[in-house]
This record gives sequence, C-alpha cells and structure tokens, in this order.
Amino acid sequence: MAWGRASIVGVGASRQGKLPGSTSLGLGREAFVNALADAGLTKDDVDGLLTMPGSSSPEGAKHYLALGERLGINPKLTGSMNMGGATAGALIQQAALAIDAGMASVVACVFGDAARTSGSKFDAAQGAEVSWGGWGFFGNAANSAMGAARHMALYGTTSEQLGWVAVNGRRNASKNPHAVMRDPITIDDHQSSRFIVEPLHLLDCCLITDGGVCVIVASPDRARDLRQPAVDIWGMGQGHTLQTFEKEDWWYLPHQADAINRAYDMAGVGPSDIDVAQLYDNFTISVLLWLEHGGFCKPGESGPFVEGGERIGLGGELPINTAGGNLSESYMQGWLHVVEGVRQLRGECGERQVEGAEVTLITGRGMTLNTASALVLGKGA
Amino acid sequence: MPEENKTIDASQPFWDGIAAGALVMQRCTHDQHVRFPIQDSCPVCLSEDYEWVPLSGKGEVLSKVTFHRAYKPEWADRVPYDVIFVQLDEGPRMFSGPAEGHQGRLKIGDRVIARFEEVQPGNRLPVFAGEGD
Repeated sequence: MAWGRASIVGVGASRQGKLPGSTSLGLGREAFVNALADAGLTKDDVDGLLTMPGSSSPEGAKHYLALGERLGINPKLTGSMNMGGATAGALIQQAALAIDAGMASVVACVFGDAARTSGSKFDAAQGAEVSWGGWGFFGNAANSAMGAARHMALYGTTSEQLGWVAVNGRRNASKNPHAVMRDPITIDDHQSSRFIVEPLHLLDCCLITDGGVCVIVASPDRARDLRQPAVDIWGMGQGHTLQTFEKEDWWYLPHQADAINRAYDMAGVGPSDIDVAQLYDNFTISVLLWLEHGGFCKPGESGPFVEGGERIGLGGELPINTAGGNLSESYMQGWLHVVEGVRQLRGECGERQVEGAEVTLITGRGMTLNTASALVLGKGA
Repeated sequence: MPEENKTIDASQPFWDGIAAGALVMQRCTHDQHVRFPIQDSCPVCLSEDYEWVPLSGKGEVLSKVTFHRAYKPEWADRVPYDVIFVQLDEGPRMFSGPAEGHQGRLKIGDRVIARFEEVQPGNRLPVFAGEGD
C-alpha cells in the first residue's frame, strides 16, 4: 500500500546553461515563479520554504533567509539543507512530512546555482582532516573513478559499457528542447574524449551549469484541486555512509540500495513496478551502481544491462534519465531529475514520453559518495 | 596550548612515524579498533582513550585511478599519475600513491607495503610498493 500522503503539485526550472551575471538567488526566484505558474498558485499560497544553497551561494546555511527575503515570504516552516545531490529528494521528503503533519499546506523546495559562471567549486581538494591532495587526489571525479575501477576489476565492466549511459543521456537530451547539450554522441566519441581521471573520460562526467529548480509539495486533496494532474509521493527513503573509509565496501555505496529499498517498502512496490527512472548521474558509473542497488539487475551485471543502450532507452524495459540527466540536460544536482519524473507521470514529455508511465523512481546522491535519497512517485488516481 | 590547536597537535605521532619510516596510527585501548583518518575518539565505541601503534605497513590495492588532469599547479608536470586506494592489513583504508619506480605498475588486488617518500617538496608521506619488490 503506497504511502501517498503528499503530492507534487508544481515544478519549474529557470533558464539553464551559461548565464553570465546570474546568481543562486536569482535563478531560484526564476524557478519559483515558473513552478507557481505550473501549479496555478500564487506566492501567497506558499507557507513553507525549504532550500538548497548552490555551490555559488555566499549565504551558506542562511540561504533560506536570503531567498525568503527576495521572494517576500514569511513561511510557517523553513530551512536549508546541503547533502549534495541527495538534497533534492531529502528536502522533498521534509516537505512531505511537514504537509502530512499539518505544519504547512504548500511547501516550495528551491535550488539555484550559478556554478558555471561563478567558477566551479567542484574541483576543490577533498577532506578536511586529512588532505588526500598530498597524494595528488583532487576533485569529485576521482572518487567515482575509484568505484568504477574496482567495479571493472571485480566484474569485468568496461569503459564502453559506461559510455552507453552517456550516449543514452544525450540521445534523450536531443528530444528535450530545454537540454543544454543536445547534439547526439556515439560510443566512439565517448572513447576518444580525453581522460579526466582514468578510467573516467570527459564524457563520463556531468556538465557544470547555471540554473535553478523549484518543486512544490502539497496535500493530495489540494493537488486534486490544482491545475496539473496529481503526482503522489508513494515512497521515500534515505541511506548514508557518513563514515566513508570506516565502512567496508564504501566504494560500492551499499547505502544507496538501503535508500531505494526503504522507498520501495513505503510505496509497496519493487523494481518490476518502475516504468521509468531518473537515476542520479554525476558520473556514468553512478547509473550502473543505481541499477544494481535498485534491483534492476544483479550486483556486477549493470555493465551488460546498459550495453547497446536498448534496455535503458526510450521504449526499453527501463527508460532512464529521459530528459538527459546531469550528463546532458543540465547539472542541477538532481533537481531536474525530480522535474522530469513528475512530467513523465503527467504525460507531458512529447517525443521523449514513456508511454503509460505510472510509477517512477528518482534517486540522488552526494557529498563525495556518502549520502543518498530515493523517491517513488505514482500517477494520481 | 590553545584548545583549538589540540587536534592538530594530536596528529604529531603520525608525522613522527613517517619521519622514522613507520606507518603509525591510533588504536583504541577499549575495543582495539585501529582508525584512520586521525580523530580524537573511536568511531566504534566513542572512547577517547587510544595509543599510537606502528602498523605492518602491508595491505592490498583495492582500487587505482590515473589522474590525467592536473587539479593543482604543483601536479602539472606529474600527469598522468596514479592514486591508489589501499586496504591495510590492520583494518584502515586510505588513499595513497605508488612508491618511486611503481608508477603505472600497481594493479588492483596487488599486495603492497608502505615506503616513505617526499611526494612533493617538503611533504614526506607513506606511499606503496609491491610487497615482493
């Protein structure tokens, strides 16, 4: 029996890409305005404001305060959270709990980041207590590359197989007028793109973009009075490995399976019920791990699962990242994954629409590799 | 000693070990858990009591990547270079690098042993060589 005690009633994105002069707050506002219009709400209806500061947000943990001031909102409930790419799912979960508890009636979850034009912070050295930079270890690609290399060594996964995730993302992005990168790529393009941190090539890595996204959560009753077809939150889950190296198999991120299984259990569904999935793709290897963690294939079998791109493509048994994902649509740290999941269930995705999509899985991961969130959404009856 | 400098000072035995050619880490005196990175309490039992113990320096390469991009200027003339993820026999895991002469030679699953080298000028760190080498 699905949980279904909160719904997503509006989604909106700002312009995406390279936007000189943009700011985290301005892009968040732009997305907020678009999400309100999508839902058929006004800002006076919003009594909850939950935010994720962008990497370019000087406000840090006070981001909600600065955004609330800009939006002219005095909410019943507010706050900011940063769990990297797991934040979108986790904040929407907070919103859903607040709705269910009656603490707020319409909660706007907002993210904005001018990461592209303000200078990327994602390459910063890792680790506060020990500087792995002493050994030349820097940047987020390296952590995922460590996982990819071990997956390859244990299971025979190949770089070409990773490439199919990139090819799939771009193929879907070519059908998304809002995607930043729309020119199709081939496996040869992937293989000939330069190494960043081997085994990861440039085309294994997500974009860095400016943009904002807003997701509005309300009660299922309210959802049915609003403009859009209702999309209900069936299940929610989180899983975290805050201990990093203290945890065996850290590189394999077993907490991601925990996050998904908790969401499945709450939704009363399993992998065979998922019609379309938006799996957080900061790097191609992430998608392979999600496929194993979500039970779509067995451990070690995600390489062959994605090979050829048919199973994960539109019309395949599990279409994934149908808008292009972080790799090709825009790097909104998973927020656009939620937007696309909602739009697929509403049936408004045009030539990239998955026919008959009724249940979707959306995942997020962040903070090096340590946090994970999962949402199962269902089409409203 | 100012309170805020306590944890920095507490890592000194680790660096003294490197200078003396030994991999030295913290072992909890309550549950014997050996931990790394350095911190002031045991992540298993939360005890603040520990002792510094020399490790065998032996372990296994869990994973290996090769940096082709220099993220910092001081690494520009080093690319491509390897960084390894090591499982130490006593339990802790750490990132490190190949010892001199081992660039491009260490593979996942290899048995390795620590050596101590100046990875960058003035920065002597544990690095790893093949155990049989």
